[in-house]
Amino acid sequence: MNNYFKEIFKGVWEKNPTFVLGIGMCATLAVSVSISNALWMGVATTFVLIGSNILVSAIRNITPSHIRIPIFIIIIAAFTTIVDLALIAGNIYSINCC
Amino acid sequence: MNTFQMIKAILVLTIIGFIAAFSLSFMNKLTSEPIAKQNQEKKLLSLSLVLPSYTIQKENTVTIDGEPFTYWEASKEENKVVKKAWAFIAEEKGYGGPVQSIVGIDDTGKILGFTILSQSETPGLGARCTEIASNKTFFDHLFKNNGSDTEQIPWFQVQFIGLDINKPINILKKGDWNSTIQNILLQQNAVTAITGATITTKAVTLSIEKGAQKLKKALTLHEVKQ
Repeated sequence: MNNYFKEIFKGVWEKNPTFVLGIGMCATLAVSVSISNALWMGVATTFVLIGSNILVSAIRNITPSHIRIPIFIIIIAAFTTIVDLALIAGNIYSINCC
Repeated sequence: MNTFQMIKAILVLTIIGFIAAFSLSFMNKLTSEPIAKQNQEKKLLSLSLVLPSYTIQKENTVTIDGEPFTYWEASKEENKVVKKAWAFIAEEKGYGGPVQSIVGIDDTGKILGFTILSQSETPGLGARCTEIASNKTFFDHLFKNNGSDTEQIPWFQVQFIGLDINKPINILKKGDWNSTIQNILLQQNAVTAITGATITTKAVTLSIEKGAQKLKKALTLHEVKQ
């Protein structure tokens, strides 16, 4: 009996693709209402993910495990801010007034 | 945890933080000039949008209630009568930060134009205050086909044109704006709220009302000086 509950729990929480995708993609989904938004959101997401993952895996061995999370936060936030500034400067997502 | 581990943790965190701060400040230096230029261009474009056919005479910044308040004086000649108009920057806290906009009004207190300068509302909800309805598809975009799009101003901003700032601006909930409900809204001096983002709509109307009061104060101050 216990085993069945385990399976149900797995399907709903642990290995639920809709749930995982829904959380991961909600920001992208909300922004991608037009072609240029969607395109640049995709480019920005790709850049941030690739850049931060390369850096995080490169410094993995010199990072003490108990401060891993603050370091990851700093790196990812830095990448996000860089992309943010670059997009504003390129007038790609500024606030479209007209 | 021994002393060595603690020192190592502090050292690593410091170095990473330093590198991050350095790259961010470098990026900031690189982009601050184009960003400032674009803000300026956007402001000029917005001014011509909210005061159509008027020429800007001068820009004034005064301090009202301890806060800086920027407004512009504009005029145009119509049938040999000089008509005056003003534009001002209105700002109010929305759901995700300040919503800044430029409002243009004529000498009777009617809104000539309204456009949002900056906002940081939720994408898909409050950020729809700058959304332009589009029928463009991916292929239209690829082949540079403009499709059937005619609207260039977001519907949320169109509905403010013609409202009276001497009366309170009401908020109705009638769904998305379209030209069929325009008359009803104008009669009641109201706008229709963005679905799911009434706070954003409220912030915008409140900022216009407050800005109009500030403009009146600024103008009386100006007259006293003269």
